[in-house]
Amino acid sequence: MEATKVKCLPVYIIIDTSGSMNPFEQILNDAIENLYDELITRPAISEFAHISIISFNNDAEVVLQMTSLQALDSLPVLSTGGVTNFESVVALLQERIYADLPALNSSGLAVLRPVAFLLTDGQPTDSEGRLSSAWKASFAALTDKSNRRHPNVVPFGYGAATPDTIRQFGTLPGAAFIAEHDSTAEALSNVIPGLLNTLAASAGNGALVIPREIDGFITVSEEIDF
Amino acid sequence: MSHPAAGPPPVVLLSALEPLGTVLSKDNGQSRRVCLVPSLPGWLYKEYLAPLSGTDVQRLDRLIALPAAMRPADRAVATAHTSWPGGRVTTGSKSVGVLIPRAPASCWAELQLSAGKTVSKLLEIDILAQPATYQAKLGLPAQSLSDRLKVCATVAQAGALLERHGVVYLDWSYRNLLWSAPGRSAYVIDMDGCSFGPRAQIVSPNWDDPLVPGKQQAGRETDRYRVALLIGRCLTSERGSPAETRTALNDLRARNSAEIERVVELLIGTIAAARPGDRQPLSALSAALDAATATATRAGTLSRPSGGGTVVGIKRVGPGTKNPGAPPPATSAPPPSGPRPTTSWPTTSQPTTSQPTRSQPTRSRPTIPPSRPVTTNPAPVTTPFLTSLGTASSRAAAVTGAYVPPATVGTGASRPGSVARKPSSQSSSAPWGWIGSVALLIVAVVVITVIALSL
Repeated sequence: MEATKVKCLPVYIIIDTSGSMNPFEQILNDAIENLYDELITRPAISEFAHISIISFNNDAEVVLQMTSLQALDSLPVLSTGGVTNFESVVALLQERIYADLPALNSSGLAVLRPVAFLLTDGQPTDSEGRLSSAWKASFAALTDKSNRRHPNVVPFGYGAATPDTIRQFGTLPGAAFIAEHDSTAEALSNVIPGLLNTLAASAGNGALVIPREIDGFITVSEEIDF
Repeated sequence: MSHPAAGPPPVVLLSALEPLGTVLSKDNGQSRRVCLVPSLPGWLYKEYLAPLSGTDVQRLDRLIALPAAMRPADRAVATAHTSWPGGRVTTGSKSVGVLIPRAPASCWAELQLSAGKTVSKLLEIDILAQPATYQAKLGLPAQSLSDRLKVCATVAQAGALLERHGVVYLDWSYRNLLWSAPGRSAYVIDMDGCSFGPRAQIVSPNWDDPLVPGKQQAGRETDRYRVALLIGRCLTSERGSPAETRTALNDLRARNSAEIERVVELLIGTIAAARPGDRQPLSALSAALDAATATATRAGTLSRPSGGGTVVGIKRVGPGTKNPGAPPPATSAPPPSGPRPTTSWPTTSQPTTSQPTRSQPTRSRPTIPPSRPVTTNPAPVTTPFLTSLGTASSRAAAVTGAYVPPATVGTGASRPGSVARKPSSQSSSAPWGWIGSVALLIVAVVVITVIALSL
């Protein structure tokens, strides 16, 4: 008997690039560079965690397709502005999952359930910038366990993001995080190491492993529904 | 690689080590922290998450004491190629940690990152087990098959040493071995968890032992499997399933010397063994690798395996760069479609300044740095006889994988590890007479042999 396929974890890093992130645009782009720099020097992690980056404000777009880091010769540069149209993210995430997972599978990999790390500093709006709950129905459908390819979603909130909002995005108990302090800059500088620790622990275990503690963040506890 | 000059006592109080130095890592696996010990230069203090149990204390003490009982040659291997624990640390009542030697300086490397940045990092063997293009991307010399053989020979030496002394390691993987590029050698870390005899199997994704799955007791047979898989992946840069590594090894066997064939035979035999007991001792693999390494040094560069990872040259990309015969640049993700993109996304053939769609400051695109021209570690010509004859020395220089000038990179005309088609730069100066005739005959035989090996 011989060991079977190599496992891979599809990872979507979803980044809020709305107007409130304008002051932190440089930090955001530096964070992406830092993520790349860490992963390129640790290929065992990047060959397990296949990463795609999605940014969203008025609309959502893929800024880094799921690809081997080795094939990259440049990184996306994000610019910020606009609103926080989360409904567009849900639609795009579903589209990408349905495209990327079969591609990974056909390349001979054992594909684990995808995980989406959501980085946001605010509350979901519609395309006009009005607070909106329109995203909830499609999000529920995407993350419903009856959906064979439903992703796990691990949110990181900072800035104007509230625990209640972050809690709504999280799909795993104990895996929703809000910045410990008010500083968005500080939160952004902590989130990449937090992601890297998560990816490293996951690669070491061959499965998604979320650290119990992430520096600079506190866990948003589950709310009991009475 | 050398051990720290002064070793610690086998048991030492934590208070005697204080004040401790810089924390190098924390909450990493089984350790709460790893830090420098200013009072013991060359040593690190590794603090466990929880104090050791009685049986673990005995195990660790036995491990610490073992090198003193080894013959000098074994002790030299332990010192040069492993992070053998040097002392158990206690608070008086509890064993809370261990003293381990710092990794050799030669395992540090300056790596190229994005946007012109560099970082000094300990080189994990993870990167040796990558294609030459990946190594070049990080600014490292592309590793030829000869280089890889030498490093793998030291991996096998360390494994054989442990096996010889009944020590079971189990945790062979990319992250637990460091590698010295200039020294062409490996260094095994996390040695303090070793046992004498089997213990609970370590679950290690993509290193799973198909014959000894998790929850079973695992011993030297698993060590043999994982060492073989690691070496197979390092030699071929095929990091996929064991079946894929075997395929890549077969390709290696078909194109190289009898010594390489023996190595491949042992590796495949171990990886594909139907029973744990069929896996050959690591001493056999170590001997085979030593022989293959010696052959590679004598006869020169060996051909690389085909399949993924054979591109050993890369090209600078960007405006104004002329690269005749260059392979097409890697394609980046297509520009985003739809309204109001939030990113600037020029392709690699365009200037790197961004194209904002709103009033945003223009930012230049961080580029992954182009690699240095691909070179191999220059292999010394160790055979004085060959260097004394003009024709032979130039041919020997061509086949040892010495520095490949940038003009030849990427053309496919020459690669590290292959016979360079460098024209002979010297004519034979062998004297006439019977001595000269014999010398010429020997040279011709050597040249013909080298050509045959390269085909």
